[in-house]
Amino acid sequence: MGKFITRRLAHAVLVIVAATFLIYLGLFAIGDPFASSGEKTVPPEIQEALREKFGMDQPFFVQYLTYLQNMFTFDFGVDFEQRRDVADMLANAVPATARLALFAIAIEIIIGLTAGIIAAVSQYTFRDVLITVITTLGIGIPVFVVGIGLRAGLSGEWIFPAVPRSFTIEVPWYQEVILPAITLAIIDAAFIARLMRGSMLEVMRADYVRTARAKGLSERKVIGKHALRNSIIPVVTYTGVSLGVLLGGALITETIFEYQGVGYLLVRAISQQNAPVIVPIVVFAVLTFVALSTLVDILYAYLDPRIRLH
Amino acid sequence: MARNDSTTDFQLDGPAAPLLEVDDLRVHFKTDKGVVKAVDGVSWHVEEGETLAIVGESGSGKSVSAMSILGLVPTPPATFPSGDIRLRGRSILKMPEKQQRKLRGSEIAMIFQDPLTALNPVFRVGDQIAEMIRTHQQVTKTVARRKVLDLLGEVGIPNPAVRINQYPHEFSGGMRQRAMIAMALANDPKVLLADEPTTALDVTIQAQIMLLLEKLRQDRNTAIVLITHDLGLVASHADRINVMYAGRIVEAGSCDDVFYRPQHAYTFGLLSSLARMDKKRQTRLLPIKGVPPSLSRVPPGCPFHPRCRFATEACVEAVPTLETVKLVDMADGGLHRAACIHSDQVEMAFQERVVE
Repeated sequence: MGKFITRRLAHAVLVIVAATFLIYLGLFAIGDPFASSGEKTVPPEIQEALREKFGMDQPFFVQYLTYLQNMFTFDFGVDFEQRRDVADMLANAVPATARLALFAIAIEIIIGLTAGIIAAVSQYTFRDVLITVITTLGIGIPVFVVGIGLRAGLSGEWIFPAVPRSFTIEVPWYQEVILPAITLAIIDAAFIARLMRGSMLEVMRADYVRTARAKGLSERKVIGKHALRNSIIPVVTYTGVSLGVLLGGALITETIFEYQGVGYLLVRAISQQNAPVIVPIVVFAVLTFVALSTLVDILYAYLDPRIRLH
Repeated sequence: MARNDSTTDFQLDGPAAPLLEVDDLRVHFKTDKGVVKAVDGVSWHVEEGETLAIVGESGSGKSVSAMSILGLVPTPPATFPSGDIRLRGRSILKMPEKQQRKLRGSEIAMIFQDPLTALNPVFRVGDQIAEMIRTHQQVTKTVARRKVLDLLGEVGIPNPAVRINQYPHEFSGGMRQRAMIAMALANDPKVLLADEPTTALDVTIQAQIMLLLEKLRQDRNTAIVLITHDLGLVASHADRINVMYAGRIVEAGSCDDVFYRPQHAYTFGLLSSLARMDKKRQTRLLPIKGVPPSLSRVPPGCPFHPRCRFATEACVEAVPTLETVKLVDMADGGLHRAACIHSDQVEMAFQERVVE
């Protein structure tokens, strides 16, 4: 197991190095930040001075290393628009996105797993058909439709804050997070239910489930222990990857609800061509995604001892 | 042997009723293609320390009858239109599910064909056996673990202290089947159902596993129901044989009866398609033509008649019943029974082949 984890971590470091390099290359595609300042073109001698000040006249490789070093010391510079410290902006957005992601994942795991297990155990009954119909709808509806629908119907009602948000009204985080979390959770919950149902049905036909029954175990233990432990493996993979994606910022959902997370920040930064904000967010998204996939692989090996051999 | 308190309400000792009795059992499956009669009026019984073999091709209903004993046949789609299964006279089929469950794994245990798929891949072998013990006996984890070590040793798994912590994929095929047997024996069952226990194993390992079962039967006086299609296995290990075809028993008797004086055309076919190692010169092997019938459309009359070399018009008219074989020079208590109206011809044909 130790060897497996070491190999998997080395793999992750390689991916991170490659990804940060590509992101840095991509930065030049956004355009020269010193070419213009708002409407006005910048005189060539001032452009030259700015390049020198920010080290952009250095060879490419030195620039890349400087960028890496700054990234890992959380020195992200200031944004182009309002000269705010990007590190501060992220320090507010990242926890908000993490709350949203964890909340959404919790909802989809609880609903998805329960629905999937119920559907599998009562295959072909009314309950199963009902769950199948609902999950098909859930998978089919695009996230922006769910989001806009929920916003139109519920924002401003009960405990949910009104959108567009007013910055003069303070709202506790758990009131902000509910609607976007539900929006994110609906599709994934439907998908997890489908995944769980299929996987459970397959496992329930397995010989070892028959063995468990032949042992005289209660149906609860047969399903809840022997079948569940095997059928949950694909769900763990999917949920882990899904969490990795969500932690990088839920662009559409956060924008719809004007939720102050990484996704909303990124959308605004892109529309302003605000490179100092875009780059750390993309790097952060890559880092969390790689970290989560690594964690999933390790968890996978824990759940299925046969994986540890390879 | 410490027995679970919760089973003391069963009076399993005493000779009054057969240890395990299957009485006119029918197991039918309702499918889109009609009713599949997997088991259609089967009766047999087994006593302590006895090995009963149930022989037949795939789809002859031999596994389904064993699964029914453990309640492993899902209802629906299965129905039990008639018959009963009794353990020391107490009906298992009519028992509430909760009571049935107490018997599973404690009084009646089962080992399966493929030990790789029959063991749960994500749990340690030792834990799976310990679970069997702790389901039926109120013992601590430590006690159960000690018992598992003893069991692993008893079934001939070397180095139990290491093996107990390993996963099924770390075991070889033969070792896995030994682990399955250890699990089955964990609560010292009265009846052991062995469904093709050696089919998935190498020939050399097959012999070891059969020797192990034989030894356990002698040591523990367990009744073994050996379900197999392998006549060679039956010849050397069974006391009595039931030959099944299309959900029915077509011939039943002691090993000697069935192997040396077959009375049913199907048994004749099975034996004539088998190479004999005990003879210098092989007689030509006679294969059975065709394939077993679909259990949703069993031929009328004797189900074997479309494939039978002895079949006549009379075979199509009525389903032959199991009749006690009457032999002039034999007095074996009427245990030998066959459901064939051409028994005399079958026996003659068989004796000719033996003399050849």
